[in-house]
Order: sequence, then C-alpha cells, then structure tokens
Amino acid sequence: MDRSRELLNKYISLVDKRIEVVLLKGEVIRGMITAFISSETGGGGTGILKWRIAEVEEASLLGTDPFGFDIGRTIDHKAIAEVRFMEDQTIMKFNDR
Amino acid sequence: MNGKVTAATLLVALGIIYGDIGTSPLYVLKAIAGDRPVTEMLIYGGVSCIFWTLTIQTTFKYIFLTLKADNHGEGGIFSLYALVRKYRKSLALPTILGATTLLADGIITPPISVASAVEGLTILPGLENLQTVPIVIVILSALFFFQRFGTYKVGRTFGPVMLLWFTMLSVLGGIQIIRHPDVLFALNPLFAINLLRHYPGGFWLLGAVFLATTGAEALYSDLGHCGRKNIRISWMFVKTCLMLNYTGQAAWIVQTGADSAMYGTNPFFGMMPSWFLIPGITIATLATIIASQAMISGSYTLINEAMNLNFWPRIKVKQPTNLKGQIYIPSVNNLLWFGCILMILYFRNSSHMEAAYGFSITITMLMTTLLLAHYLYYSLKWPAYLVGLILLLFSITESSFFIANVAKIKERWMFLIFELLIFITMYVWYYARKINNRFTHFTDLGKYASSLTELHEDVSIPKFSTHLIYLTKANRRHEIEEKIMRSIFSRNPKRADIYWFLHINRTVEPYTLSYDVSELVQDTVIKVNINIGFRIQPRAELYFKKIVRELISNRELNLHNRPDGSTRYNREPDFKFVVIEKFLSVENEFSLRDGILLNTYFLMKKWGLSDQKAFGLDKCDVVTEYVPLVYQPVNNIELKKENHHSQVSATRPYPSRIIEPTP
Repeated sequence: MDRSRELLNKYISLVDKRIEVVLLKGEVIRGMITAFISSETGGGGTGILKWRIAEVEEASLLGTDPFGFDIGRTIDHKAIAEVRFMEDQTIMKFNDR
Repeated sequence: MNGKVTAATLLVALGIIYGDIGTSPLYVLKAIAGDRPVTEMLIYGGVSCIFWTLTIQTTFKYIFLTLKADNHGEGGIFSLYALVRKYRKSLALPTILGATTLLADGIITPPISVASAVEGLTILPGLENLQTVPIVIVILSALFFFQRFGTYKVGRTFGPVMLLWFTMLSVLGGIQIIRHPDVLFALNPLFAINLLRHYPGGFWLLGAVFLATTGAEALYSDLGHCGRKNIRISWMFVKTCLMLNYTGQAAWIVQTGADSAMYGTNPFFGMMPSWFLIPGITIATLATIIASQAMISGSYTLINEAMNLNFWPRIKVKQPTNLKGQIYIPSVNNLLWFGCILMILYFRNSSHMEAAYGFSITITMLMTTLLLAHYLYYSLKWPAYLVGLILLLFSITESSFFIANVAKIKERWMFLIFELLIFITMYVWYYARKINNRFTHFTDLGKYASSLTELHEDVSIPKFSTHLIYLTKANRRHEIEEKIMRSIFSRNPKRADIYWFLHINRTVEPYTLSYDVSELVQDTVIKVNINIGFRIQPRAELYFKKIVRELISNRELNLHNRPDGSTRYNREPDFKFVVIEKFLSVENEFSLRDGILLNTYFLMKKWGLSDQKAFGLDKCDVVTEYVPLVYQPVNNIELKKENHHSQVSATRPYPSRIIEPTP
C-alpha cells in the first residue's frame, strides 16, 4: 500500500521539520524535505514518487543555491525503509530492510 | 432532455443521431450485390446479415449495453474512458486507438453519404453522364463554411427532415415487400450463415455488411444530446424503417435482376418510381447533409473532450451559439473539409469509397468493447462470467468484421497516414505530459506562509500587483509547485496585496462548474480550486473575477483599500496573472523514447494554443515567464580546475591587458 501521502501530511503538520530518512540499503540521510514529485494516477489517488531532501544547514527557502542549482538529494519513495521525526521522536516505517 | 420522452424530444433525437446509420441504405446493399450475379443466397443472405448485425451489434451492444455507461448524461469513447480510467491506467492506449480510428473514418462519412445521394441524379434521363464530383464538393464546402455560424436555427429542421427520410425508407421498402412478401424469410439467420459458409468468398462480404452499422458508435457519442430513453425508443422506429428499406431493396433486386448482375445500379434509387426520383434524391441529399453535420459536430466534441482529458494539444474552440455543448473548432473544421475534399477527389464515386470505408470503425468498436467490459465488471459489478461471455461475443463478431475489412487497406492506404498522425498526436501529448508531470516538483506551501506575509508587508519593495494570481496544478491545500515560489521570490521579488493560487480541476463529470476557497494566510495567501467539467471551456480569468467579486460582496474577503485594488485615480481592477511557460532545457539526457516524446511534445506546444489563451486570460493582465525544464540532468560531469591558473583566477578574475609604453 502506498503511504507516501501519509508521510507528507505528517511532515506538513510538523513544526520542527528535521527528519532522518533511513534507506533500504541502510544509509541514513538527515535533513528536511524541500520538494516532492507526485505521481499522476487519476481518480484522486495521487501518491508521491520522489522526495528531495536537503541538510538542515543548506536548506534554503527556495531549495536552490545562489546559482539556481537544486540543493539536496532526490530519492525514490520506494527506497525508503523508515522516516524518523525529530519533533516527536516517532518513526514511520515503509519497507522492511 | 435526458429524462423526458415526448414527441418533440424523439423528433430531435431522429435529427441528431441517426444520420450515419440512417443513410446507410443508400449504399450497403449496392455494395453487397456489387457486380456479382444476383442469387437468392447472396441477396437474402446479405439482408439476413444486415438484420442480425443491426440486432447484435447495434441493438444489443450499443442500445442495450453501452448506453448504460452514462457519464452524467454524456456518452462517447472519452466519457467511457473517464468512467473506467481509475481501474486501469493502461486503458489510455485503447482509448487513443479508438478515438483515432473514429476520427479517421469519420472523414469518409460526409463524402460517401453525399456522393451516394447525388449519384442518384445519374438515373434521370439525360443526366447519365453528369459529373457528380463538383456537386459533392460544392455541397460539402458550403456545409463546412456554415459551421462557424452554428446549427441552432437550421438544427430545428433536422428532426422533421429525418422523419420524412425514414418515412420514405419505409414506404419505398414496404411497397416492394408487398409485391414480393417471400423476402421476409430473409430475416431467418440461416440465410446469413449460409451466405458466410457456402457463398464463394462469402466471409469477405462482411466488409460490405458492416457498412450498415458504422453509425452505431454515434448513437453512444450523442447520448448527451438526446438521452438514453429517447435513443432507445426512437431506435425501435429507426430499425423498423431501415429493415423495411433493406428488405424492400432485396425484393426489388430479386424481382428485377434475377440471374444477372447489378453492374453498379443502386437498388435504393432503382426501386423508386420514376416520377418520385427528383423528390427522392432531394430528400436523400438533405438526409446525407444532416448525416455529415452529425459527423462534423461529433468530431468537434471528440477533439474538445480529448483536449480536456489531456489527449490533444490545446487549440482554439469557439461557441457559435448559446446552445449548451455546441462548439466550433476552426482548425478541425479546416482539416475535415480538406480531408473530405481529398476523399471525393481521390475516390471520385461512392462505390470506390465503399471499398475503403469501415475498417477503422471496427477498431473503434473493439476498443469500446474493451472499455465497456471494464465498466460492466468494475462499475456495475456484473459477474465475471457474464462480462467474459459478452466480451467473447463481441470480440468474435467485431474481429470477424475487422478481418473482413482488412482487405480494404489497399484502397485506403492514405488513411493510415492520417490515422498515424492523429495517433501520434494523442499518444505523444498524453504520455509526454505524464512524463512532464512526473518531473514537476511540488513543495509545502505552508513553509512559505511567513515569507509571503513578510514580502506582502515590505513596502521597500515596489508593488508588483494588488492581486497576483498563479495557475497551479497542485490540487491540495498545502501544496504548490516549486517553480511558482521561485517566480515570486527569486531575482525581483513580487510584492502583492493578495497572492492567489488558482487550481483548475477538470472533472470527469461533463458540466460541473463549482469552486472552493481556502485561506492559508488571512486575506493574503488564498488558494482557489475551480472544478470545471470536461465539456466546459476553462475561462479562468472570468471565473476568477466572479469568485473575487462574490467573496468581497459576501464580506469573506476583507481588503483594506478599494475591494478590487483600484485607487481614486484608477477604478480599473488590478489583477495580474503570471503564466509560467516551460521549455525543454538543453541540460537533459533522455532515454530514446522519452527524448522523442518530450521533443515532439514541446514542438506541438509551439503549434498549439498558449496557456494564456487556453485558460481564457486577457493579454493585458498576463505576465509570461519562461523556465527551463530539466528532467534528467547530464550526469557525471567532472569539471577539473587546472592548477597553473588557480592563483591567477583566485586573485584576478580576468587576464590583464599589457599596455606597451609609447616610445
């Protein structure tokens, strides 16, 4: 089941936007979500295909550096094993490693 | 009109939907008989095939089953797709194929119908060598020319003319049946089976038989104009008239041409008494003009739906009258006119067109069957075995027609080019747009709320506009495209009193027009969602201004100065729409398929209507910005810094110019 929207809704409600994303291959990315890409499935079931995550220090308002290059890394939603939220110390699990 | 059934609504239905199927008697039996020796097996078998085709294919499939797939009163292949697309994404492909073939074969309907009627003149004494091509060209050209004025006034005469036409069919056929009542035995399906099994090359005659049901798809497409009940009731009358005429023609052929060949004689005109030929040909010509009109209007509707469901580039659509749903698309009109004239010039007469007509419609019907099966199974929850049986029945029937029509390809090769062009347009537009959407970055609008408020209050920045409006694809309250935020904040920030984010939601219901508003920052950041049915023109600026006016008059929007942003010097509203046009960045590396799709897509975008025009925005209120689209940035660039330049470039960005001292 696609729970990407659940992640987005939870993320939007956060005040402290810092998260830790654990990938299936074990890598941990710390930072904030700066953008995402929706799938177009029609019928109202639009999920998130990819997330762009930038480190807290580098995350700017527009998600770009002064030269207009996107900052952060783009990762597939399917590659995420779990997301840890710093604000409430909760964990959202997606796929088993 | 959907719910009501009156004499008037039935008359309207007669005038709108039976043009194609209703004028088929002009050429179907002539095509079956051809130059073959007239035998009972051929003629009775042909009539039997026609009867059972109209029963299984038209009555059972379209009148009984397909009309159930009523999308808020609307029908047609795109409406059916809109109903089932949520169950399977891959259904877009059969929809594209079905719509392509429907459009392509539609180009032959006007010339074949009008030519068949006009050729009746050659029966008249002294007119045997009449050149009918110029007459057909004049009639068709006039018909296409008058499309720009709409059919509101003349449309009222269509019903009575078609009633006269069907009455004429019945009377002419009935007289022949009375003279030769044995012909009624031809309705026995054994005659049809006998023809297909034992007549030499009998199976291939299905190509001609199929011409009797080519108009069946139109019955479904016109559901919105007439309503299910009106179609079902009027069809009983129409089918009776058609069968009386087909059977009457068979009776006339058997009586007059036994053991000899027809050699191009049209039994439709042949069975007319000579004194009735001129009025008969006149009524037939009028009926074929109405049939052509139905095809032309149907093509406009089809392209309009394709555009609104993102299968076709945006092109100019006009509304010539105030009649709901009546549209005129100049480019489609010109294309159809050109195609029809080309057809008549190439084929010269209806007999040659009969040999080419029908192939594509079999594909449309097969695709409709596929979509219909999904509708019956998923939406109506019919049991799988029943849906399977229906699918099997129509797959066999329609595949047989398809195979029998394949022989026509050699006569219609030029259609393949036309079909390929339509198919490529739909395929590229749909799938490239999907790729495009997959690379549109969205972001959380909430995180910009405080920055937008600060910018709105920062008087040190010159005001860009009172109402600053962006069109957004994000349908959720808290989402927005990243490029919109970059447009507001990067380079020269755009200060405004109110930031509006306007989302146009094309609904699967055809005539929806509603909106909802959510304020993210009170009176400063507002998201508006306008729901527009797929048959309605998206006039974003008009609808938006109406919404603002309504919000102000209801005191839901509290502006500090004049409600529309005007000043005491200027009473004109200050709205500014920012349209962000994308172009394909050079910094992309695509797979072959994606590269072809996206390059063709952006080429088509250049030819099509701009976003500004497509969304009905006034030029003076619009600022267009261009942003490069980078889907797949070129990877693995290793830009090496050369060491011997490093010191110079660190201190002096540009090489110094050496000035020689003058001696």
